[in-house]
Amino acid sequence: MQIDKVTAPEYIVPLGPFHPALLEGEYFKLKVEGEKVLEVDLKLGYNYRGIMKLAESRSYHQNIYLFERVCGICSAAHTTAYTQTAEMLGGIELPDRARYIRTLIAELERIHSHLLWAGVGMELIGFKTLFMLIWRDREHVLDVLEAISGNRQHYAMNTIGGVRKDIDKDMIPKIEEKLMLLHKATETATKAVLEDRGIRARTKGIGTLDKEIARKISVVGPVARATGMAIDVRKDDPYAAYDEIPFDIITAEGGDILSMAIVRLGELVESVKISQFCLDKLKTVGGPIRAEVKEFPAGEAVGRVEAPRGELMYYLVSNGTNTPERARVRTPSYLNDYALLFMLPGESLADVPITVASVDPCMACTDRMCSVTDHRTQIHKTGTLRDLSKSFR
Amino acid sequence: MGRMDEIREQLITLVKNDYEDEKIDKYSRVFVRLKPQHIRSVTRLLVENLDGRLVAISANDEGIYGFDLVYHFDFSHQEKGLHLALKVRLPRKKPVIDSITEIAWSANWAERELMDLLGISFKDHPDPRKLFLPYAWPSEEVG
Repeated sequence: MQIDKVTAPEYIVPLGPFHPALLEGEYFKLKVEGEKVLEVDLKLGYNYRGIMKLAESRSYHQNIYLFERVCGICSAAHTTAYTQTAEMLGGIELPDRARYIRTLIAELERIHSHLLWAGVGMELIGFKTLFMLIWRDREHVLDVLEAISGNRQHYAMNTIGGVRKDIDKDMIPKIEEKLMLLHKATETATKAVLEDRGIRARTKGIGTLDKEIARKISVVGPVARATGMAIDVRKDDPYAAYDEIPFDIITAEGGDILSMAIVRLGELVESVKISQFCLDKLKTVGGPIRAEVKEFPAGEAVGRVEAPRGELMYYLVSNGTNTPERARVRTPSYLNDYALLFMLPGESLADVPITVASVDPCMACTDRMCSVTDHRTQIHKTGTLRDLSKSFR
Repeated sequence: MGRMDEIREQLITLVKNDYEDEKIDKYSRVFVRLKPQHIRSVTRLLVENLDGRLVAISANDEGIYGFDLVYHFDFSHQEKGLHLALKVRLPRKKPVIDSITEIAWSANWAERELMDLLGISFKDHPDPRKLFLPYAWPSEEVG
């Protein structure tokens, strides 16, 4: 008698478009054998807003408010990139005080974004205590941002030629106090991530991104730095006040989730240092916070910013009128999400949510179009939501 | 000699007369115009030999003149702020160009996005499915 060879059947597990483990709409099609993921396919477009087309019909100043809303978490990075590109088009030089305020807001935003990421990551691996501690400490930086700009998100600080609000002298000691608290919080979080055996077991060697593949798909930001590539727009292509601020690029070698956590936690310390540097400068440097804006001559400009998730690129083409002819936004997640297709195969299904979260994905676009199939008649229709609502009424 | 001069020299030896300098601004952004047939060999040179990063591909709709594809290559990890924008003009009727996804993998989604939104076709793309539009979206002729 012979026992038949049993092979595990392969199944397709859909993850998304809307799923509790994902924060935004994206559709992963996972081919699994038992618990192991064999192949991954990713579909985007569940959240497409057509921002780049909208930008072509608004004036340069109206576009600041539009691009602020590309992303809720890195709103200041988007406006910094946009205003900076528009300033390149118009040949506008920033006043010194505006440069420091811009840098300060960018770094405070990085602190809030990285702490948010660390909290989400901890929650996904089931470490609820650290999640709550990290998010409690994140309130400090949100308090600072609220005190400066009046908002916890969408600070609306940047404008073409400078910033919209000045930072009061009396406010600086209070911000410094909060920065001290943040520094302490970062140390606690770093100690926990490095020493806790539970976190280590769930992140070390999981979701590893090969160095060679990372270079080929040109990942950016903390994901690239976690694979040993020392690229950082703040150093390579300095903007705002970064060319005069001393700070280190944090890199790690592993390419796994633990390395990405180490890089982001290391960057928190650097960000606190940069913020402190800016505050010291703001105590002494005075002057205007806004330069005069005249016109945008025909031409084109490329602006780049290190957003919390990595390199953010804006490309603007001007035709001499007050609306841009073409605006192209390349968000960091556009390249980093692609890396997931190489990180997920080989992992167990339980590690998929934390691996997806490890690159800090941010889908920054909405659906305007949708397709409907009538199951009775099998007629397939596409169009804008308004057209479809008319035809199916 | 700056890094850009080296890159320009190598580009000119590769494509000879089909090279045209458009603009270099004071932020060291270089804009260059090329003929579409060279895009594969030029990408191979920039990405594999000169260690550039393909950052993005964008397209301008220039009306009756056609489409302007802009390939953004980043060399800022070699020289501060150096950014090379290669421009390629495609005709409005039947805009076809060679896909560079096999050489620079980061072009994959960028090319699929342009196929979706502007109807430009990329020859020999390994995975020419819809990216942002639904898979069942009808394909349309541009013209």
